Amino acid sequence: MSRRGRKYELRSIIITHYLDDHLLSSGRRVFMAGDFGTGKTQAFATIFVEGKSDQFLFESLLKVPHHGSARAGNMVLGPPKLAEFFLLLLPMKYREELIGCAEEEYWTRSLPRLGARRARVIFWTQMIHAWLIFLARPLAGIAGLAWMGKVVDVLLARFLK
Amino acid sequence: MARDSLGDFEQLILLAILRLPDEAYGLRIQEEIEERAHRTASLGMVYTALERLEQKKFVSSWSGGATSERGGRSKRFFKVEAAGMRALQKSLAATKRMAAGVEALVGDSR
Repeated sequence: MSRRGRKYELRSIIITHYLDDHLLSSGRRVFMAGDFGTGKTQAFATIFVEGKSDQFLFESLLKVPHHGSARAGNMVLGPPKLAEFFLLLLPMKYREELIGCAEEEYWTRSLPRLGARRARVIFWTQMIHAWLIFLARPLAGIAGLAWMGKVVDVLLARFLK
Repeated sequence: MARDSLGDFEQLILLAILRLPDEAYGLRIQEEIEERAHRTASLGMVYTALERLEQKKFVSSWSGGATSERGGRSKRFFKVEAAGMRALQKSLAATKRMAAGVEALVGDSR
């Protein structure tokens, strides 16, 4: 979707409910959903625009090309790829489902509510916590891991609320 | 711990699955636990507990459809099986028996 230097065709843009919610409530954040494709593949993406006023936001949105091509790299903010890679290494039966849930949480819960930076922190926290739990199973009793788990719990509690 | 006994978190997971008929998958279970039990639960915790419960045959699962916001990955839905229901009843009954007579001391924590 947002690979370095590759150009993607922007076929259509669907403005989601976030547009109304955020524009009316704060006037600072607008989220849009776009349909990006490279011919055979298609992917859902959320466009994140931040501005000082409603007018600025509308103007920004109008600048996003509705047809033709767009460089997706600088306007699509997805979950951190490195954290996703570490999750892929997790030797768990339901690893794929866990990653799917982490992504869903990122797009539908964290990003609209907390913004991109904190949403990415939450994604990282989910990855670290999943690994700690996996490691803690055979190594239960090692004080360091229990302590680290508590730190991650505190971080989770802080960022998820 | 006996094989058919339930841990505190496992009990919450089973109750969350029962509260979410037809939509009990990882993220919804996590949300339900956070909203109702006011307990922070990471996805790793939820899936690890679900795997354990499935090993004990307390829950069963099936794969659902993939959605775009999940990066094309499918959901795994869970259902409480008869053995899980029995374990849950046993566990809740034990809690109830232990709490009987000391409610005033423990107080209302809602």
